[in-house]
Amino acid sequence: MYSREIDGQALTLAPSGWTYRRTFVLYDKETGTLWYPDRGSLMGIQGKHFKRRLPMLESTDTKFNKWVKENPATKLMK
Amino acid sequence: MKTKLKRKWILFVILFAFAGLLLVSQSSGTAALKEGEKTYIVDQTGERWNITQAVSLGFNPRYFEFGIGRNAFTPLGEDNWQESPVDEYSQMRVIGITGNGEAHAYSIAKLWSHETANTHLGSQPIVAGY
Repeated sequence: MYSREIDGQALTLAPSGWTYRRTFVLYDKETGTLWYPDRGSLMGIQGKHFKRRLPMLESTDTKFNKWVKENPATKLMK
Repeated sequence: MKTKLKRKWILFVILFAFAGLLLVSQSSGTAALKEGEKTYIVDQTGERWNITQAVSLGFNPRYFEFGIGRNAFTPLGEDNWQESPVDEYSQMRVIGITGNGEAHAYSIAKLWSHETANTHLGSQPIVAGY
């Protein structure tokens, strides 16, 4: 889970169709920058946002029944 | 004598197969196109991707794989939240996040097939991926 805001602009991140060392390479639809996970962030590896970072956000990998007990008003994407 | 010959033959076959595997594994990487100072890779749709800056960071074009095209997956978005009541006993695996007065859960199975979900946690734009 990452922030997708940079310089006040929201980016739309999508898979580029490429993997690099078995990890998906993403791109943003607004600038075409390629993004790759690196040290707790997504790093721009090619394009306008070269070397910029989108920070990772804290998240939990769990089961839904546990999650909803702690967060009864949760939204769900399934 | 016959046994020795047989052993040599088996050893030869094994070495030949190993050399073949090595050759295949070395040639399966993505070929890079060099144009002056720039480096490109080409995906299966024929689209050329400039990776010059990535290469300057140490990325090796050989390790870019698949290249199935930028439209192979449809990212999820705000239209994909479940509208119907949720089954609170479901044991499906999710990635959960809280903040800005909201809680989100994303089915990992769903993320597997779409790869990214672009949403907002309150006013903060976030992307979920798996």
